[in-house]
Amino acid sequence: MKGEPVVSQDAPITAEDLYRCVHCGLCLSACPTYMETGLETESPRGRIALMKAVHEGRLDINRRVAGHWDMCLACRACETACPSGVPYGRLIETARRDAVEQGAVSWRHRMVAALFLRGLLPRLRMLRLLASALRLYQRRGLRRLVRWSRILKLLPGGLDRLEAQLPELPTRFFAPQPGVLRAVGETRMKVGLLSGCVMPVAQAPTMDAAARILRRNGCDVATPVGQGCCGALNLHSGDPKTARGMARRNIDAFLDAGVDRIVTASAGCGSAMKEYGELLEDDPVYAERAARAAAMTVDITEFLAGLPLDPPRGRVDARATYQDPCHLAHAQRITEAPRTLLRGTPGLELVEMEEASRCCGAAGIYTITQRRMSERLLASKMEWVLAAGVDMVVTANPGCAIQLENGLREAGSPVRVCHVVDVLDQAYQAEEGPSPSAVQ
Amino acid sequence: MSKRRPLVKGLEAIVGKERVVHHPEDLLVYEYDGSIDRAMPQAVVLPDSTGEVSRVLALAYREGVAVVGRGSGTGLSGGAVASEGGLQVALTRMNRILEVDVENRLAVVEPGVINLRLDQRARRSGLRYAPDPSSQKACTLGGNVAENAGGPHCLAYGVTSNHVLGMEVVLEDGAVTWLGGMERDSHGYDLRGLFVGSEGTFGLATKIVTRLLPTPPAAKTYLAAFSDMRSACDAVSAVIAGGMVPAALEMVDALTIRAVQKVAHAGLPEEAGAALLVELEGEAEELEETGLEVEAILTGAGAFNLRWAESEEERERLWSARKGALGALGALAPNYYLVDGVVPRTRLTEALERVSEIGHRYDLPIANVFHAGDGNLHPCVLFDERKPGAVERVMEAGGDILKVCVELGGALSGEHGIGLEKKAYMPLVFTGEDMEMMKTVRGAFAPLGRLNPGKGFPGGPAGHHNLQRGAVMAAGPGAYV
Amino acid sequence: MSEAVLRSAGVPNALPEDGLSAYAIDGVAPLAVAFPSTVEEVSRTVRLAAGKGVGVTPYGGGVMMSLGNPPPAPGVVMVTRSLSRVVEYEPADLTVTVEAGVALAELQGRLAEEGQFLPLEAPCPERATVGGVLATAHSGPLSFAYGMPRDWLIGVKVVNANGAVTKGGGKVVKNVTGYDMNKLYTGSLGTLGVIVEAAFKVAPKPPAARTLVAGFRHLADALERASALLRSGVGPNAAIVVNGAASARLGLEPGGCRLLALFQGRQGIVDSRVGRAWAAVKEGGGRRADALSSDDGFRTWQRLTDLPWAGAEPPSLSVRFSLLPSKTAALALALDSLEVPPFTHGLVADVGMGAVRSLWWGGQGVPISVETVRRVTGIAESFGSRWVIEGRPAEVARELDVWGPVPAAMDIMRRVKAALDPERTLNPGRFVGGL
Repeated sequence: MKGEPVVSQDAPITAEDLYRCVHCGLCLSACPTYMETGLETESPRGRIALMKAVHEGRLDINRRVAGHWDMCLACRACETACPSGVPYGRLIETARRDAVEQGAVSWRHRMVAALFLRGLLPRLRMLRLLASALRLYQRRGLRRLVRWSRILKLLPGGLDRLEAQLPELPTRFFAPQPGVLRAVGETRMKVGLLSGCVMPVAQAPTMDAAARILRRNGCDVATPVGQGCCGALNLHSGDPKTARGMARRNIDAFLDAGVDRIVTASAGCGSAMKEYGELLEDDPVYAERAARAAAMTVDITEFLAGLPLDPPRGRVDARATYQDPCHLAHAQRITEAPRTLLRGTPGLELVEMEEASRCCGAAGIYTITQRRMSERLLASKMEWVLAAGVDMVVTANPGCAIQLENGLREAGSPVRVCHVVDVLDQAYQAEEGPSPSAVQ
Repeated sequence: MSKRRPLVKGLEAIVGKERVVHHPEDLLVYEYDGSIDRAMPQAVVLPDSTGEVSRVLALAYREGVAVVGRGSGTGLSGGAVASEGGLQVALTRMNRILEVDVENRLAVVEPGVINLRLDQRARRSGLRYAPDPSSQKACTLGGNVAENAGGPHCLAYGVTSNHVLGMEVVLEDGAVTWLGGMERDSHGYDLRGLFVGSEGTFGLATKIVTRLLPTPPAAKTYLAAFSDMRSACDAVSAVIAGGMVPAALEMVDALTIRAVQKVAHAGLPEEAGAALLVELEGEAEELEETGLEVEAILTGAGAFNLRWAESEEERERLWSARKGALGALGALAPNYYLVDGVVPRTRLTEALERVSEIGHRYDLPIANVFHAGDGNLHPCVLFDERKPGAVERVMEAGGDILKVCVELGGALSGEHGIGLEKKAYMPLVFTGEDMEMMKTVRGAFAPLGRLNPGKGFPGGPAGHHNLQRGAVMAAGPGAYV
Repeated sequence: MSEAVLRSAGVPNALPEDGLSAYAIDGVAPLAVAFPSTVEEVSRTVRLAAGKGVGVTPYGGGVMMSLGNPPPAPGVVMVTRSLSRVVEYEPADLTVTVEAGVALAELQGRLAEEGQFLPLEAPCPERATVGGVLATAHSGPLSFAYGMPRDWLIGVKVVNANGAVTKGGGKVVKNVTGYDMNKLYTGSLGTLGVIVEAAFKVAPKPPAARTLVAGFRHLADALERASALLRSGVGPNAAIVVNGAASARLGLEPGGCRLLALFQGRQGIVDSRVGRAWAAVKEGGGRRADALSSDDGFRTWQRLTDLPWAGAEPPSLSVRFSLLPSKTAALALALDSLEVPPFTHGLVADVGMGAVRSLWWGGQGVPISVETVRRVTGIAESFGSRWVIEGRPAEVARELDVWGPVPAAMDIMRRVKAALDPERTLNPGRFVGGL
């Protein structure tokens, strides 16, 4: 079932959604930007108040108004805190789309949107090419030359910092493959593993680990070739149109692969895919398929914790803390599953840091569009991580991992950053004697 | 408005550009708090220290500008709404816990510290901050002081004023002084006690010394369903008459139960006409005994589906359902008007029946979620403000509810304050002479009356919702008596 | 102006001239003594005095009249004892409203009939009035667990300086309607208004009470144990340490200092706590202990409350210190090291509240000197303590402000006084900083 995407009319912000907010203010302390600034303008309630004012015709969307919406991380911690069930994620996406349509967004935002969001993400081959070039740059001493030359400082938009923040790329990238990687032992089900956009290039070993763990636990793993980026970043930055195209592509790829579940190791992607149903509800051709794909989507931690897991017997001797990715804790309300998996890992001591579910400031393209705020949030996060006195901070989302790595590197800290599946995989790998996990 | 420019320039000179809000579109988000009234300030400033607050107030004093303090803006009586314009001083950046003194069981905090954060910090040392308003995860201690905030556990432990030992305050003209200190007793007039609950009309607290209590070794939380409100009220009376003062004794009615279940699925019995949340605290062996007695009393009063939280998580869930109940009403109607009346505990049943009659009379659904143990009603009148005439009807219904409370020997507000919301009803409770005396006291703190003007007493402009009901307001306070 | 003038002008039930000296305060006999029996009569008396430019000193049971600076001039003493009605008592509401002249013991008796009590204490409670307890904000050993008068008062009616009868609060247990005038009048020593009616919340009376009395060789050990008991989970509702001299006057068996700890609650729990507390006390060097029954304990606690004010022989000097609980033991020890022959020095330390009373008896006709008083109060400074002289010879009070150094907010207090009582009619000159 493929064909030309059907263009659907984007729905305006509905009064029902907006006026569900009774401005009680209980969301405030959950909002990272509010807690950082103390400003009502940078709070969920304030952003909704602006949306209401626009809706009521008291206000036009201008740069200043859009600026407050853009300052939002879309971490959706406010949704968890909200006692009225305000669909904040949906509201902010719609508001941003309106801002984009009315040209009320910053040049930085537009540049990122054009180059990265619309340019690269829908074309993963391009992304991979660029990543290869970067890897060359990182490996061949060119970087040292460039940094020595300080040429990046001459470029606009803080490219020098951006360059410094790019993760060290692995020697091998992860890529979708035709066919299926067979389960070790008896097959329980067939899962499709979302490969995504950034993860396969930046964190390929984690993707490999995810596949190994799934196979070890009775899953045939497919990584359908047609899949691409989930579209979350486009959606969050006010471009639902591009996001829909990307969603359709993934829906086709996974449904056609005949999998029982779509597993993702990226919280951001999982959250977006679980909302494919809503995203395409007005698409007569895709609505039903989108809902089906959404219902099949699970985060890998949620999936593994829900299995009768073959518990790892190897040890990972470390003291670790867990950073809740916003799109896992707030958008998907999954906080226990990753902790359960970590606690079940022999040797691992899990301690809670302060404000574990506060956003680290990564939030997709936020590090670029709102660099200063992102840095402030990261600085606070680093304080809490370091205060916890751990060897390792574990998370479940690529963006968070990169952000945390940057923060720790800048702080000169030896604390490692891992994905939950990295930890599990290490434990499996550390099992003594002949092990069924010695695959690949 | 002509004064805005020099004011803004002066403020920027004190705190810097980043911490002054003055663009109209930004001020829009400072026109509300958690209540129904709205009004836009001329500017908002976010000072970071006592010195800055002092200089800001001195500037406002010179410029002849009214000053309205603001914490998280979760208040329910319009306390933080700049009803006469002027300068809003948001203390959200002064959010440091300066000291937790375990030995003396006290804490020194800045006014922007969030209530729950202080409690969490204290709990790390085996102590707690007892007053727990339902907005505690967002509301600030400065706001708690201004409104003399309560909460479910105030039944056993008292309200904010029972827990504030002293305060550093900045007065109308910018002068800084201390009221009270770190000792339990007062030296001279108990000005700290008087200041608590003065709704920001006496000064702005910039440091607050609070008591901390030891955390109880054990707690037991019961949830009991009843077929109707009457039997639940009887149960409340029976518990109190039985010589027990539980840590908390909370009631929700059928409408609230349905709303909470929609949002939180806290396991409240959906078929019930009312439910009671009863929390006992003390030593484990003590709870065994009192627990059995409470169970017997509740069952005797007709409780069904009686259960208790088996784990801390379950207890948290029951409480989060209670504390989020107000917001959950958003799932039933876009607006609610929360009335905060008090009646003597023995008049609860009567009060609730008359509230329900009022709801029928005005054809407005009214949900009840309240602190039954101390007779503190919270009827929530549900409505949609976009429907013409709705606000006026709701306000009238709210007025009728308050009249009922006063008739039954109660008061206008148990914990939310008078603010803009209830100022017109003050003559129901106090004579002109009573109020004159209160204003005289205010005059001793703020001679020019420029701190949160127009709050707490009848008269003066109101927020825009009040203006909408101009006809009612114009009739004067006597209209309500 | 003579008392006759006031009488003819209508002071209610005025006392004949030969009885006035019985109501002298620090040797200053009043111009008239009034016994109003209604609020209206109180109001009339205040208006009358104000009109004549003389002060009005409210007078309850006359138990704590030594508190305060000497009156600067003779005025009208207004005895409130005839305002003695229990206005409203609804046991199921746990609230009671009484007129100010009701004696505390009488109120407690009424409440006890319903198994309730008001956790406030006063010396000589048969005489001490509710109004007096409020005006002085008197607190005793129970304050640690139950709080102060300010914490139990929910509504108040006063006669202000202009004769107006105004109220604050109400009769419900939780109330933020209007400013909290209850707090303003409580502890204001009648300088802002004459309290004529008060509404309280009350508490269910604990079913059982026992008092653990333990002897210690050293005051330091007793103080340390008291703090330890309060920190432990054993939970006494009061823990007081007295030195040997004070202990002797409580009628306890002679010999050294004592720790008194009060346990209240259900019988079984009280017994188990007393047992655990006793074990802890022994471990800390405590000797010979008694666990007094409810009644014996009550008598002992009452004697302790009476100690600074009354009893067979009231002290020549009594100073109350308030400070941080953590510094209480050190202050008590420093005070204990003071020796002023021929005076006997009693100490009562409440380590939970951060309150220490230093009581000086005897002197065999030698009045205590201002120098000695300065030595005693001077100790406060190095512990950051405040002090107030609760009992002293009139000569001492004429030399120094019995309330000690003025508080930081003295300015506002003066403004409050000036606003509410511009003519200085109400108990003038006797309170902090000459208010």
